[in-house]
Amino acid sequence: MVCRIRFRKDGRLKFLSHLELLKAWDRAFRREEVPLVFSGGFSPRPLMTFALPSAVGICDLAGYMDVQIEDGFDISRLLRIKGLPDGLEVLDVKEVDEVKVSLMSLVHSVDYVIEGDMSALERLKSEQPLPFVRINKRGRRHERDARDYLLRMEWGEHALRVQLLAGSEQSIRVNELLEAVTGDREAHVRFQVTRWEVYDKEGRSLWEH
Amino acid sequence: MRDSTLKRVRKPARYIGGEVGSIVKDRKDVRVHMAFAFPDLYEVGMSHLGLHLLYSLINSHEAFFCERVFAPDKDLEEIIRNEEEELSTLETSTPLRNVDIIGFTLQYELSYTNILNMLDMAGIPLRSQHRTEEMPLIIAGGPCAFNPEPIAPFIDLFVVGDGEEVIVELLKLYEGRESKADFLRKACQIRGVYVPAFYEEKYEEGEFVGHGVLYDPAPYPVQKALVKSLESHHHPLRHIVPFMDVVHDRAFTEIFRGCTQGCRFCQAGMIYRPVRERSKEQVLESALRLLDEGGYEEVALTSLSSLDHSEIREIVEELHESVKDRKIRMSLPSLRLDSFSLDVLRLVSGAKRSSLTFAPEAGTQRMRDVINKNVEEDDIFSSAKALFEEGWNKLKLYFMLGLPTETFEDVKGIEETAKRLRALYRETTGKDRLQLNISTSYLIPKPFTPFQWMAMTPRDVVEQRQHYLSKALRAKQFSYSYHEGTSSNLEAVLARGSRKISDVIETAFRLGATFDGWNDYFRWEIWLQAFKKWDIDLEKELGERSLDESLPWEIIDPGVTKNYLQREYFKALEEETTPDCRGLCHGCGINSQRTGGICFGVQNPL
Repeated sequence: MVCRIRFRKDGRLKFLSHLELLKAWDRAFRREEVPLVFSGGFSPRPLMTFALPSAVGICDLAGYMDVQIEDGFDISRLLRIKGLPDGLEVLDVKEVDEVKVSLMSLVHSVDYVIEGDMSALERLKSEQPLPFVRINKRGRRHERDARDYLLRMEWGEHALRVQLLAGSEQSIRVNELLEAVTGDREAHVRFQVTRWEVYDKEGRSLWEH
Repeated sequence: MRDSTLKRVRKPARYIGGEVGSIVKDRKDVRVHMAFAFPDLYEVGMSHLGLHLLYSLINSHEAFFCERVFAPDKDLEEIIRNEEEELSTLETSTPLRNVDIIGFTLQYELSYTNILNMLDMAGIPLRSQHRTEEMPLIIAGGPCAFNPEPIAPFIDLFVVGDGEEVIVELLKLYEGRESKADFLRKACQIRGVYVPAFYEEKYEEGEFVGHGVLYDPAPYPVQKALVKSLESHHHPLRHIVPFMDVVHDRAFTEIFRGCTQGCRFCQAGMIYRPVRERSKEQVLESALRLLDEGGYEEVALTSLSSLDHSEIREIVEELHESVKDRKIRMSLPSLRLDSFSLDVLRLVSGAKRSSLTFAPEAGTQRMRDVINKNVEEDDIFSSAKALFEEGWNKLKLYFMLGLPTETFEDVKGIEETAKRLRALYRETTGKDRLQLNISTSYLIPKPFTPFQWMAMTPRDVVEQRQHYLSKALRAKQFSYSYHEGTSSNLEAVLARGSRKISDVIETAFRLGATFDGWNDYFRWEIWLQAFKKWDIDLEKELGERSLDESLPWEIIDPGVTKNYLQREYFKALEEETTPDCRGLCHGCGINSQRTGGICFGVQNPL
């Protein structure tokens, strides 16, 4: 069966890379004796997929993953899983039908909350374009405008909530947005970013899907 | 460590702590606060069993708290040196200079400049004599402590030999101390403890002639600490489970300590005698608990020569039964090339796609006899044939160059061994799918081995031989690897040095040497400058020692006698072997009253 999990990743663990996060889950499941289904071949791996890769340095309140587990396992046990490192938490679980469409392909946009010095982000309030450069694998530079990826903005006194395109066709990373707005590649160091929710094409939370 | 720092460095997972199995205590509740300092990156240090063992042992005492600290990578170092961050412990981010005791582990000599670098980053004076009462006590232990002299001026106290019992005694003593000096005077009475400040080097006409004892009660020589039985000892049931990929990312359980093979180049085999086995029951309990508590995908049974454990077959069989349905791999490093290995290997796993590693060490039987590597020609080829028949096609073979009495014939022997194995594979399987990985290392004559008196073979000779092999082994079935010779020369100088080498190490560090064990960072020119500054004659340092001269490391007594080492040295020159001492005692000295009279399966004690 496929179990869909909504999880939180924050605190110090926001610094885990995607592979490190995968390994942390794999080991947590093994400790809990969750009967994972493994891939075949010489290096059997648990069958886990994620909606979005873990971004190093970003807290995640809307982590979504699908994991294949042997039938007969009571998935509510995952809500009470012991021995998770501090900073990882299972928020919700549900069984989903054998997945014909991967979690990753459902992703259309993502909500981020950005905290820090809001005055540095003033340019967002205007209509000015926000150019940034993406260098592709072959080393070619492409100029892009971050505004093309920005769907919504909500300003608070010390925080900003933005909805950014994140699907396979068009996506922007939050660090790219910050670079585009401030002109500084290292701007992300000065802000705290949290992934707040992930939406599909219809604007529904991935969890509703 | 601040978030903004962590966002600026590569692999921040190294510096965050918070792993399952890590232990956090309130510093206010403990009496002694220690930092276990591994002088290399997190991913190297977390693969070291000793760290997990001592961490778990010390923390099991309520009054003590042991944290970890590793060498920062260069990007973090820059931030620390710009005073934007402190070098601090992993569990509570305590700046290193604020702990009571810093314990460095000396796993390999090329890590010495990292020790100085970490002290420097922490704002602690490098030399013991410059440190004040409030500064942490700096201690060190591990295999390199058997020649502590090159770093003696930087370390307040060495633990030589098995650390488990001594460290607890030391912490208890430290708790009740009146001052550091008072502590050191009492500590030196504990067997295995070496306090450099209580001894001085004596020279006559510029030649080292021995040590003088400055504080009368200090022992001379210093006997190594020896744990009599591993059974009764604390063995951790939890390790700290890393988040990131570390060099050896698995549960590991020590199955025995020491070795009876008597290979003449091997320092570990000499200094860790006698053999002390862990019982099958304990090994299994330990391995299974580590897997359950950690969630690892692999478990390794470690020792110097796995198949020598008296119950190895049963251990492997029973462990295999327990883990076969859990998609957990078993790993058995340090294998022998003989028929017994095969029986055991068949049980290890069906994963014949993985590579098997063996260490014939020499390419001709003559040379194997000289180094006392008890592997016969027949063993190699008949075992290989059986492995090939069972489906293994990936082998890694370790050899050494620069062995005593080595000639070009011996080098050709390596080439011939490889070619014969290739032919054997074709004959046995009818296919050409053998992948043979050959690796040669450059022999360093280490202290407390029978080869300790020999000169290190000159680098240009070894380089010629490496060059020959890289041409001779150019084929699709072979891959050949070797290291740059200069770092081996440095390792030899550091391993065989006296206290005067400490000046060289400090100078090299000040000139920018760190991470000398890493190819990308090692700079020989820096060390040449440091040698020059202190008038060190490299040829002399790497050269032969006479059989009756005093050696700097003789301040330590490893239990094995000088007489035994010399006998083995002469036997080597005569190409005579010495069999495994489980069958017959050869009187190495460990089985004597001084070491409590224990030894493994002694038939004819001398």
